[in-house]
Amino acid sequence: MRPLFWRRKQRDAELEEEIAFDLAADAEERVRSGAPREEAEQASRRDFGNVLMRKEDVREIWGWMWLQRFGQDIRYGWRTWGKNPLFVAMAVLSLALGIGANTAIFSVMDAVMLRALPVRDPGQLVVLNWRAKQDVNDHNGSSFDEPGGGVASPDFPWTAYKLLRDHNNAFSALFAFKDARQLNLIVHGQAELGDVEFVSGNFFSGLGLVPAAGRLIDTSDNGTQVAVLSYTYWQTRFDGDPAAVGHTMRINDIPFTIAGVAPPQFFGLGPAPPRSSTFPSQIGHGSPEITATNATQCLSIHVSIGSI
Amino acid sequence: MASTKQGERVELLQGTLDMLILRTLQWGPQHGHGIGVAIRQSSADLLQIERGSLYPALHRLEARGMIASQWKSSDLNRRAKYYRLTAAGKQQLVAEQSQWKLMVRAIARVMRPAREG
Repeated sequence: MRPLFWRRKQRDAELEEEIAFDLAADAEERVRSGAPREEAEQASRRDFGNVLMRKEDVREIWGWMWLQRFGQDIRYGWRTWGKNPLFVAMAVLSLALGIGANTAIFSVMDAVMLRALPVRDPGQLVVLNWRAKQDVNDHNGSSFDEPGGGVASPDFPWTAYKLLRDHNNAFSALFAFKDARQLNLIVHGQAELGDVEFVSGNFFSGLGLVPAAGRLIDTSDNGTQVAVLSYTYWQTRFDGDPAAVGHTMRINDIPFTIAGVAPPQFFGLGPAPPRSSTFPSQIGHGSPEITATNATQCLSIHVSIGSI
Repeated sequence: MASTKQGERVELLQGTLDMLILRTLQWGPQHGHGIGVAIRQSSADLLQIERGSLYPALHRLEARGMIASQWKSSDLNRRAKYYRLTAAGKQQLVAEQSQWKLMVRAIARVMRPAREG
């Protein structure tokens, strides 16, 4: 297939040649029957009619021809589809899967690699992992095999986190969070499922977040039942009402006081933003998230964990 | 051509040029000029066809798949675009021919009393 403009140019040249042949052949006939060449050529031209107009007529037909062929192609395509429904189904399915997979992968890449967390100094955040030479009994399957052998996991026992936090001289803050998955949330007597994350008291101050309303959980809340709403949940469930602060909501039927609302861009530290979320004060296990001053310091923490 | 006086020539009926072209190509591939000459000669110079009007008709027939074209060398020492009938063109010619016969008969029937009266 040649480019369209090239074919058009060639067709124009061929039409030119076709008409030139007609003029020459007609003139030749006149010469053969005795007319002088110049006169014969003039007569041939006159007899042919308006050359430019005829060329335009032909070009107009080419335009329709294109349309007609296009229509034929579409009809042919339909017929072929009708004859091979299985093939068409396979083709459509593989296209759909291909596009879907690419979109899904891009969404994850976008969230994980391209978008920075909406926190102060996102580049300074590090995740602390523990490492063991052999497999250990971890409580929820969050550990993973290391390339060089052994296992690692970002999930620490609560006591280990407390020890690290209290002896932290390498990081500006050492805080913990734990995805609680979907829990039963009751607001205004209406229950629904919502994504909940447990966080340590220094979680929001460690990330350097500013509340959209009320205040965020801080270390003075340790041991109390307070929750921070995500901005979306606040908008959908309370219609962005500032009076939501101080309200009581029940999470898995335990009453929590709403302390405030997280900033609009913040959905937690996971890659996919949950539909609705609350951040109740820390309970149970924590996986420490560390703000590192540099990588070597982070490394020395790893060593100290190994000795625990 | 100058051999027939202007008054004896008739304008082509609308829509019949395609049929004449198809009929002419029944004898074998021919270029545009040759088709014009053949129509003129077989009508004994009675049909008045402007030579230029053949080309839009030829390209239209080609677009509809009735005829196909090929560039070949000619006796004039330069290459010419030769047209030939396609299978679809042959079918079309048969259909148009019988339709034409019917029309001629019908019109002749209507016109006869006027001529005789």
